[in-house]
Amino acid sequence: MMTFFAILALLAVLMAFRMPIAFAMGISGFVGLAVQLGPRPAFAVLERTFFDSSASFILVAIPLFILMAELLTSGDVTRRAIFACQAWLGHVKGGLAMATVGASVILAALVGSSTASTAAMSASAFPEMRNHNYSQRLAAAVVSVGGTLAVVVPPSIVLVVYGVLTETSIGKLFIAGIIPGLLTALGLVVVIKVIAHTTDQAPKGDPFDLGRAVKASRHILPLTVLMVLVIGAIYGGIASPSEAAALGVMGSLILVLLQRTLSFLEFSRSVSGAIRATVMIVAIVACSAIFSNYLAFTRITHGLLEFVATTDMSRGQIMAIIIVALLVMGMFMDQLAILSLAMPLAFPTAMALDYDPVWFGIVVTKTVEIGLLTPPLGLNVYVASAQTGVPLSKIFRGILPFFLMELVVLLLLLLVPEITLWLPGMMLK
Amino acid sequence: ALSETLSLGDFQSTSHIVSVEGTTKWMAAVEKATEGKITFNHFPSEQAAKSKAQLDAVSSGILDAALLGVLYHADVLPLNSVVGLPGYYGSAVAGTKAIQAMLKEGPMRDEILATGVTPIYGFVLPPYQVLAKTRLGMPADWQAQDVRTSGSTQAMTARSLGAVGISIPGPEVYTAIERGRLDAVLFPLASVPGYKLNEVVSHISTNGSFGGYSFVMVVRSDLFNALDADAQQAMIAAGDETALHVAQAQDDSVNELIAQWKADGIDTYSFTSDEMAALNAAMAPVTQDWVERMGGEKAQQVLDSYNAQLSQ
Amino acid sequence: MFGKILEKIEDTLHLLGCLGLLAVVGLINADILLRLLFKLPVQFQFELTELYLMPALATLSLSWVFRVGGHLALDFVPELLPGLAGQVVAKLRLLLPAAFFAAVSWKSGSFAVHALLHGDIEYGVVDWPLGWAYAVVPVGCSVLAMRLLFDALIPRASEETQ
Ligand code: NA
Ligand code: NA
Repeated sequence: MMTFFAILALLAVLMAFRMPIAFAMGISGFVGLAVQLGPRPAFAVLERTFFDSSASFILVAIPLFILMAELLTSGDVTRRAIFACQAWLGHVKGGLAMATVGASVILAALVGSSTASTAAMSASAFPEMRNHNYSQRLAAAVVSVGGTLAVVVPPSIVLVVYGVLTETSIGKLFIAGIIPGLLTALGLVVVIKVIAHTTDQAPKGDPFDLGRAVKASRHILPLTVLMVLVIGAIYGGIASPSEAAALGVMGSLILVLLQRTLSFLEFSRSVSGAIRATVMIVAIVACSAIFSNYLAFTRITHGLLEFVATTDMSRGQIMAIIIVALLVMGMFMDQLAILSLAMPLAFPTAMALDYDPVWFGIVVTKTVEIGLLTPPLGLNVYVASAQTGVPLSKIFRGILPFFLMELVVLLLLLLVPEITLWLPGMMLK
Repeated sequence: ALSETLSLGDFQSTSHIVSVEGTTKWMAAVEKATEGKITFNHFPSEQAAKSKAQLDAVSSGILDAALLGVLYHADVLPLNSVVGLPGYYGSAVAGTKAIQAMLKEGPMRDEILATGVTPIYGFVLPPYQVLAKTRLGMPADWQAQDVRTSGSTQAMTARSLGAVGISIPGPEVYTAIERGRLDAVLFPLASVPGYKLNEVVSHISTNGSFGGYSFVMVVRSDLFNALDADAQQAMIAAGDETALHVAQAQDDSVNELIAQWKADGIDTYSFTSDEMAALNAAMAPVTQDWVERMGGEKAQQVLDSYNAQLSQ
Repeated sequence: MFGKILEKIEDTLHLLGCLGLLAVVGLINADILLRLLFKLPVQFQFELTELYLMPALATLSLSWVFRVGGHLALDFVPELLPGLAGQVVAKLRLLLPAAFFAAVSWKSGSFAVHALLHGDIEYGVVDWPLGWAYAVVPVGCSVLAMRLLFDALIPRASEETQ
């Protein structure tokens, strides 16, 4: 237990002194393993962690969706689309930020990965909000938070993994995610409205002009075509979600070439940018795998969850402890690492307490989604910071009100299971 | 030796039947038989190492023991991949008896020992079946069907039947079938509820044999050899018992699943003997190819003893 | 001098990573189109992407990404702390990861060499030699280790750091 806190302190110190997150997690995980298991096994862990963490077909969705976003952005397509939304909503205070949330919901229905979604919105919506004198802090926070919608709104890689780990219907989970996803989006809009009316971070745009709005709407057409292509490929049975991402890249490329808005320089910059973000994410995934490995061998999580399973506390208290434990894990770990570490004990516990597996899946997903926004490891904030150049500390501060709203939504889902279970109950008997 | 606590790696989750009726039972039996001298720290769900890294983790000392999915390690255990071939065992019990015998002595055991670990017991999944939106019987029905397969042997199995073998990551299979990207999938029936594939297919074969899958429990050799003879014997005896138990439990559970799916209105069908003969004839080249790729003579020897064991 | 060579190596590896991503796009699209139009899928696409291209595009550019400030770090504490302690912190921030990635390169490198010598094969649509798939990790990590060591010894005027 003492060494565990020493390792946590080491991680905190390394990160505080501006060592890259990935390096800090790798080093402290490695030191922890060396203390826990001895140096030989600790070195042995280094043999294949990077390879095993990167050699996965499902991961191609990350560089592909980021490349798609980069191409569209450098080729002006996304900017024009947001320009169109701006024409409809810009006259409202905070309207452009709300339009960004709306666009994030649409993107969430295209993308199963929250980092890819954040990258796309950072590259397109963020500069647009900055051009309209939104504060850096609010603009970067909105794209970071909007990106988390991709995890709950189907298709979602996290829901699929939960379904596989716990043998819960993926079809039901997907449908169950829809209303909580929309509820989250609504909560975000409310926060934006409050911020816009109490601060000067989200100024009003030009007055509304129907003719201009209708005219600007034609700019949405290319993006709609692309969406139909990608969603159509998945739901029409032509491609799996990761493959559809590659179709999306090709479609975007053709689109920007047709519009003649892409130079070779911008093209190579897009590819380079996609690689840059991917390398950063995979380095974090691989190094956090080393750290998770250490956590597994301490059996800390095991002991914690086993205690919960054997105590005589009430049903609600135990659920509260599970949620808090997941939130704390979310501060340090990747979403998928949390699922694989916690579900083997948390799921049977929840089932023993007679909770619904689909409801529990949405609650767990929502909880790990919040973890994408919390320091020190808040992957979405990292991606947004990398794409926008806004410092991490500034985004984390900007996220605070949205984070509180996310907790409110989580509490609603916990207290009113019908929000989650009504739609799948209606659609699937 | 005094008491030992072994770290045991496992890529399956604790709710999987292989864990409930196999690994967990075995650990408990060993702890009981050795009166607590040998205990385990269990690391399920790839917590300690990824599925493909379990063997390396044991030989390098990260773990002391692991339940290996043998087909994940075909690069260093090529002969053991014989179990993946289509058209051989018909039930988990039959396949397990053959694998257990071949792990006791012979090239398959030697190949595992050469990696620095000792096999304790092994068992198989019930043979892979085909799940589809139409009834796939004679090879003609399989023409140009998009069939999800995992690994090269299955891909070749699909091709030998005239179908197209398609690789799709496990978590994406559900959507791929639901949306029609796939026409069919070769799958172990026990894992069907886990992926909820019964929600999206209408026909499930019950007596096919489209390849197999084996698990082997291994312990690092230097550790195992240092245990006293009683403890070694206790682990092996508990293993022999567990292997047959988990095989039988899987066969029973598959039969229950089939009954359940039938009640749900899914066409659970048996191949006729004509269909079976035609399928096995069409799939024969898969075995030939395996023998050639795995290095001829030794592979042929393993195959012969596999055949001999299965016909007992 | 050595700095220039290091940059050239980083740029070359990064270019290879970028080409890897374009190859993924090309292969998957070819796979989809060919199977859609002619029922002729590019069978090896999945395995090539998973075993070779993904690890390559995720690790070859590790050092380039570090050079351009792409590995994210927290920024609550000022970049340069005053005094001797500040200098020690600035050095350790580079030397510790340099040692870590040197260890990763060494272990993953001997793992790759072992697989090459042993002739480990992934039996797929074709026989994939695994050693070459593993090899990209030590390549990317060792260049990163060199970059970290080089920066620790000869501090660079920070370009584009975040
Ligand atoms: Na989504
Ligand atoms: Na977090």
